[in-house]
Order: sequence, then C-alpha cells, then structure tokens
Amino acid sequence: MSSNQTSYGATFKHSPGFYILSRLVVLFFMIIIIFPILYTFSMSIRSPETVYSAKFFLIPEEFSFQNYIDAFEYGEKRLKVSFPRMFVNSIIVTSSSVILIITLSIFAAFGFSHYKFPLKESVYNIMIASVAMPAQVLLIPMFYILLYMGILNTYQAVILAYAGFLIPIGILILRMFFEQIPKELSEAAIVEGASDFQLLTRVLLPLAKPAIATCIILLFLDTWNEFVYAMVFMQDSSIHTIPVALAKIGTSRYQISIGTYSAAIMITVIPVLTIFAIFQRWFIAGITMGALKH
Amino acid sequence: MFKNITKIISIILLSFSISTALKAETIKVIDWQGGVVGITDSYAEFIKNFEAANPGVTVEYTQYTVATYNEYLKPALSSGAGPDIFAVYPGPDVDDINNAGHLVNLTEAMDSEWQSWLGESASIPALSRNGGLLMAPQDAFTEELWVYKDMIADLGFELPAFGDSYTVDEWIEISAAANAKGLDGLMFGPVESWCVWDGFYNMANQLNPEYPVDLTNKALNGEISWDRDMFRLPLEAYKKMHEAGVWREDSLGMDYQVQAWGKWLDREGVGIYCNGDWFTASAPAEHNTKDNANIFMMSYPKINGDVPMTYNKATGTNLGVNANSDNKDMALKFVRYTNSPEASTIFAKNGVIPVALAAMDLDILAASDNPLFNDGIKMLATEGRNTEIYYPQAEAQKALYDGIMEIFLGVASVDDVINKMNKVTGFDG
Amino acid sequence: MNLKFNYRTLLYLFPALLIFIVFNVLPGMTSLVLSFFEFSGFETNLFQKFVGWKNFIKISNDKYFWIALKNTFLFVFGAVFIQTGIALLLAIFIFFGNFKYSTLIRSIIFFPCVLAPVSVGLVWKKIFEQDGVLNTIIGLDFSWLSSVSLAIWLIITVNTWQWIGYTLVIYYAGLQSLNTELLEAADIDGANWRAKIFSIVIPLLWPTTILNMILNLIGGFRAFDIVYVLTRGGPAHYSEVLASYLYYYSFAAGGPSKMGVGASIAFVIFACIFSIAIIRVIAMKRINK
Repeated sequence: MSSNQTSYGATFKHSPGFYILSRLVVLFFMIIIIFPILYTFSMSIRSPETVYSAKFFLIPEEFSFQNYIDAFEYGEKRLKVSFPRMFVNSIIVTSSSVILIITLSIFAAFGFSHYKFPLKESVYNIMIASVAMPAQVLLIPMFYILLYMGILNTYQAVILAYAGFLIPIGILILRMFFEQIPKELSEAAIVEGASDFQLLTRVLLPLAKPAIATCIILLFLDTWNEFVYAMVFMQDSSIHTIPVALAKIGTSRYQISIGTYSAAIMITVIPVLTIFAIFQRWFIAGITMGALKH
Repeated sequence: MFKNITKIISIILLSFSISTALKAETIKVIDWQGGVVGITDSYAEFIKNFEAANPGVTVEYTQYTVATYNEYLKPALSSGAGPDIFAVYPGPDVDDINNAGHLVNLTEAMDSEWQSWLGESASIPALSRNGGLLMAPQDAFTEELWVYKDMIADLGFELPAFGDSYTVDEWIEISAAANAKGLDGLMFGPVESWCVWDGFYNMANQLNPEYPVDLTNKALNGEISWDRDMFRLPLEAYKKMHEAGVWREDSLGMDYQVQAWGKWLDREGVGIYCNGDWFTASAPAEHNTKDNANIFMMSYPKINGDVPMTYNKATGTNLGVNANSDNKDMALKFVRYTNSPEASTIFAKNGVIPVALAAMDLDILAASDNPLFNDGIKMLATEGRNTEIYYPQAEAQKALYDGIMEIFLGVASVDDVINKMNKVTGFDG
Repeated sequence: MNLKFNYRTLLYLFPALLIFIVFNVLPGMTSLVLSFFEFSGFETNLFQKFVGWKNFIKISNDKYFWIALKNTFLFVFGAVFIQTGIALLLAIFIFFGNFKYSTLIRSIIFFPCVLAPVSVGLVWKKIFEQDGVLNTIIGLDFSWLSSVSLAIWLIITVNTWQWIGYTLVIYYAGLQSLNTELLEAADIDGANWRAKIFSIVIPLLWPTTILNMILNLIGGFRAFDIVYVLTRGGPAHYSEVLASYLYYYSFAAGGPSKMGVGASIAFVIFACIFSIAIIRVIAMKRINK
C-alpha cells in the first residue's frame, strides 16, 4: 500500500475505457476552470496600454508588472491600507475563527452523533435552516448585539459573528463523518475502559482527519472571502480584511483598469494558493486508510 | 484543547489592544464617494488644515462605495453609534433619516457668514424640510452628457452651441453614423436606476407647461394623471432611442460607473449618458488639457427643436450632522469649514466644483488648468430650466424605473407603464 | 452509538450552542419578528410601526417576488443537482483514475473557491459582454446578461464554476474514508468498472452525497454576492433571487428602503429550508423503519 494515498487506482488499472473517459472528462473541466483564471492572470501581467489586445485572449502582447505596482499604490493611496496589513488582518480573523469553530464543532458534533437527548433533531434542523439566512438580514440585529457587548470595530466582532454562522456547518459535516465511523471501534474502546472524552480524542479524532481537514478548508473559505460583516462591523480601515478592500476597488467610482484590478486579485490569491497547496500535502500524509482494516 | 483556548484568549487580547486607542476629541465623517479622486484629495487637505487649526481634534474620514453605504449607515444610525457627520443619499433617504431624528437643523445652526458663503444654496429644497436645511451641500454639478469632440467631427456633425444639446432625432442620426464605424452612440448604464430617472425627469421638464411648478412631483404624489404628453413623449423618446440602437443592447446589463464610464474612457462610444461634472477630475487626461480640450458637455437630448434649455443642476455630496453626536459643535465647525472660501478653493484645485460659490470670484475659478472644470462653472451659470432629480417618493420611482426598463426589454408598452404609474401613485380619475 | 448522557455531554454541547444562539438564533428571530413591522432601518426604535401581514401581502402581489422565487428554485436546483452531480463525477474520475498529479488537479479545480465573489463576478462579466470573449469564441453577437430568460442560467453557471471545487473536496474526503473491502471483493469477482462505480462506490458515498446536497441547498438559498455583481438582479429584476431581492428592498441605493419587506422575504427563505429539513426528517424516519 502506497504511503501517498491520494487515489485508489489499483482496482481500475485494467480498464482502458475508464482510463480514457476519466482523462477526457477531467481535461474538459480543467479547461473550463482554468480559462477564466488564466485570463485574469494574463490581464494582470499586461502593460496598461495593451490590456485589451492579446493573442488567443491569453497571450499578452507586452509583458509588464506595472499593474501590480499600480494596484499596490492604489491600495495605499485610496484605501489607506497597505496590502500587507490587509493580509495580516485577514489571517488573524480567519485563523481565529477557524480555530474557534473547529474546536467547538468537534465537541458539539460528538454530542450530536453519540448521544441521545430530547429535541436533538429539532435543534439540528433549526441549525441547518438558520444557515440559509442571508447575511444582510441579520445585519441590524447583529449590530445591536455587538454594540451592546462593546466589541464593535474589533476582530472579535466578526470572529463571533462568523462562529454563529459556521458552527452549524461544522457540526453538520463532522456529525456526518462521526456517524460513518464503524460502531465496532467505539464499542471496542468503551469495553477497554475509555471515557467518552478519551473515545473522542483517541479513537474518533484520528479517524476523522479527512473530515477535519475538509472542515478547515471550508471554514477558511467562508471566513476569508466574507465581506458584508467585515465591512460593517470593522469600519476602521486599519483592520480591514482583503475582501472589503477588493470590493471597494471593484465597485468604486474611479475607473480602475481591468489590468490593475486583475493584479489586485492575483496579489490576494497567490499566497492563499501556496498555503493551500502546502496544507493539502500535510493532511494527506497523515491519513492512514490502514487503520480501518482489521 | 488548552493550547487552543490560550491561543484564542491571546488573540482576543491582542485585538483588544489594537482597537482601543484613546483619542482626543474625534470627529467621524463618512460619505459614499469612494473612488472619486477629487473629493478624496480635497478632504485630505481639509482635514489637515482643520486639525492644525484645532489642536486636540482628530478627524476620521471613511469613504464607502455607493452600493454598500447604507449597509453601514443603517445599523450605525439605528443603534445610536453613528458617525458625527455623514453623507445622505438625496431623495427618499432624507425623509427616513430625518423622521428618525438624526439630523441637525443647519439653518438654525448657521451664522450669517456661513450663510453668505452658500448664498441661495443655503435653502435648496431637496435638502431641506419645513424650511430647515438638513444637509450641507458640498459640491455642485450639472448632470449631462459628455462627448468626444473629435469623434463628432469625424462623423461629420457639428457641435451645438455651449449650453445647447442635440435632439433625440439628431442623436439617432449620430448613432447610426457611429455604428457604421464600429462605435457606439451613447454609453448608457441603466442598471443604476438614477441613470434612467434623471434623463426622464429632464425630458419631462422640457415639456412642463407650467414650469416652474413641479408637475412631476405632483404626478409622483398621485395628484395629477400620468397620461399626458409631458410624460408620454419622454417614454416614447426612450423607446425610440433604444430601438434605434443609440446605445448597445448590452447596456441593459451594464452599470454606469464601472462599465459604461469605462467603455467611454476606452473610446468605444461617442458620448457618455448621465454623467456629471463631478468627474472633471477623473476625465481622461489626454483629452482634457488646454491644448486639447476634446470633451464637450451638453444637456440631455431635447425632445424636439423647440423646447427650452433644460438642465439638471444639483449637489452631489450632502453632509448631515448627527443630532445625537457628542461632538456636535466641533462637527458643525468642520462642516462649516467645508463651505468656506478656503475649502472651496481647495475643491476647485482638485477639480471639484464647490457649491459655496456666492463668495467666490467665478472668473478666477473658471480660469483653471482643467477645461472641463471651467466649462462646468460656466454651465452652472448658464440660464435655463432647472430640473429636480432627488424626489422622495420611493415606491413611485421604483415603479417608473421598472416600467422604463420593461419598455426597453419589450415586455411592456408605453401605455402599460402610464397606467401602472397612475395605479402606483394612487391617482384616481 | 448511544452513550450515556452526563454532565460532560452538556459541556460538549454548551459552548457551540451558546454562540449559535447568541449570534445566529437571536438575530434571526429578531429578523423574523421584524417582518411584521414597517421600518426603513434608520429608526432608533425599529419596532414602532406594527403592520401585521402587510409586508407578506405586498410581496405576494409583487410580480418580481415571484420571479425571484422561481429563480431561487432554479438556482438551488442547479446547485443541488448539477453542481453535486458534476463534482461526484469528477471526484470519482480523479480518485480512481490513477492521475499522477491528482493533488494539483484538485487544487486547480478548487482554486475558484478562493476567489472573492466580487472578483469572480467582474471577470465573468467581462467574458459575457457583447464584445467579450464568449461571443468571440462562439461567433455570436448576443447580449447575454441582459437576456430576460438566460441571465439566471448564466449566473447558475458561474456559481457552479466557482463552487464545484468545494463539493469536490468533500466528496474526496468521503472517498478517502471509504471502506475498500467491498471494492476488493468486487475485484475478485471480476466486476467491470461500471459495475464497481454504480453499484458500490456511489451507494457507499450516499451519506457524503446527502451532506453535499444539504450544503449546496443552503448555499443556493443564501447566494447573493454573485447575483449582485453579475447583474444586480437585472435586467429589470428578471434575474433576482430571494436574497438579492431582499437586499434591494432593504439596502439598495434608490430602492424602496422598506426593511420589513426584506425581513418578510427572509422569512420565506427560512420557511422553505425549514420545510425541506422537516421533509428530510420524515423521509429518514420512513427509511429507518
């Protein structure tokens, strides 16, 4: 069994039909996904004068990094926030939120999956339904609550607001995965004298690593790109996160060349992608499917 | 688990220290002009001067974009944690905010010097209620069309005299010629509703038989019927221009400030519809120099050759002072400063036409390096009908916008819209 | 697996539920109650003007509300079935297809999720313009985003484009946790790949599929940013979804500024999902019998 278990091709090795079909399908979708991204990237590396002329839409006539310089300057001058500062803010907000939400969700999902208590499914259903409320609806009541708690215009305000929203999702995903783990394992642990806490930490958590990794990635997404709460609850431009700044750039009344805008997008995205790529490898290395076999 | 908790606590403590900084008296100012260069730069200078003249006072100025402004303002005002000075969208919002008791009556707070700076602008009807001015206007502009002079010449047409504009039929001719050369006639961004309203109001005002009585206001209130030439002809004119391709079909999905304006800057069309000379500082530099004053401003299309000159002159940013502010006096002082001759000069330097012109020497102002700015001053001083564009009737205007868009989409007829307007405004017989 | 409920269980559940109640249920219930009032949002006391069912009657008479409702269901349909379906397909092909760079492929497909909706919207807006990339490739001169009938489908396409990676990642986690005994048994029996996929993998993935459908359902109802940036609900409200129409009533510049109506639209959204959740519970009970 290979240690880098990212795929399970073993049973499909001898199916040429599958091989061809999978390549075709994946290639097709990759092209559709990549094209707009490459388009944006290619826009960002064009010289401002030739932003609209390119071969096959993608290959720039003239290469230049002027757009990136413009984007940095634009952020500094018009938004009073530097890109590095925005990154720091986004990282603080996102990592605090993710840590908080994952921790609380793990425990709560354990409670939902392994215990019985009255109104369990009703509470669960309300949780699912509540996530569907668009952010703007809760804006004014949430503002009042945060004001009353005295934490407006701070990082905590959005961290807690995100937690309110995303804990249901965390519970949803983790509960599903906890319940998929074979009961024999839990029963074996109990027989061996484990407390419920030990059951959770020693048996369930290691097995749920793919689910937790997934959760972290999804929570990261939902907090990193959120901008309504970030804009309204943290007006101080020194704690602005990236989406707020990007939204301001993208919808302001000052014509910003699409080249500059594309550069701004790329600036915010490339570091994220790097982190994500590293993260992925790290989690996959820790997964052992062998634990399930006995 | 404990490691996580300490992490969380330390992050919380860290963010506490970042966000609580004891400041001296701080005035918070916000507006929705995010991205308008002239205003951003002007305010930066205002704040510098004001803070120097008033030690111990800090002014925090934040700009939002038009789209997201109310998302911040509503919770802030509603919860009592609002800024000291805030811009208000003129129109329906004025009544809502005023009725909630958030605005200081500036007429009462004004001293005679301040009033002298503003002159007539101290009592603009759209910004006042019950005889009291509720918001201090900052910048004035004429809402109009801008065209590239060289393109017009290229297509073989002559520009009208300054202050005059093309008729609807002339625009159709010009657009046909432009289309033949692969250009658009007008760049139009009707996704932003005011682009549609303001042109309509101008055309209706051209035909207003009882000017200066505001019949449009009466119609929006349901006091008179919408079934009259004054409203029918503009609707038909819009329909005619759309069907003749004066603007591209894609316009229906285009917004003004990013797409329409952007494409005009890229010279894809001859004219930009529903622009205002608040943009003189953002006009393309190569076409706006003393040697190459290549942009011409004109008012909305005339329904026919016989109508009087009709303009949309209005104010852009209008600042209200929060009646519940702790720093009301200092806030008033700042707003007063923005109307002073010193501030007006700074506005002008940055290409923004100040509203407080009563105490300024217009000849000096109109001799700046920015040809469009000079023209803007001239346009404001040109005699003609003036059109109200900031009506307070939200529902009726919503119905008007939806109706005109449906005419464009071919889903409704002019009669349908007229009937709907009568219904929505509650006009009965 | 049912353990004995004790004080520690409360401890496990309590922090999450507390935050959920304070920062989700509380504002949510306030909003639902507010749908029976009329207010602009600027008032210091939002509960001044009680108007009973007036807001609900108003939206039921508003043709654009019904358009928004229809569009929302189309959008949710697209998210739940099309997005989930394509992601399932891709996940299976990548997982079992022995790709050398499967991690890279997944990262690339996931990449759009990382982009801010504003960015995605602006990029696709450019592509859909009358003189944009799409028309040039296909050779048409069609005005895509001003089309009354097509605009919403374009929005659905862009939304699927962006979020397919999200669903894919979850499916992949499900595949990685898969019990491979059945597959190995099928190998021994000499089954072909079609049988293996349709009879074993897909049924085994059923819980993950349900999870994805729920997540996409929720996301579909909530979707606002992408609609707003692409069309603002236009042309003339023909591509509105409930979330964007709600925004129009509550916050839009030049809009009606009647937040009570916005809250009533939110009520409708909540009611839709809640009903679906109840249907799910009833269905599960029937299946378990």
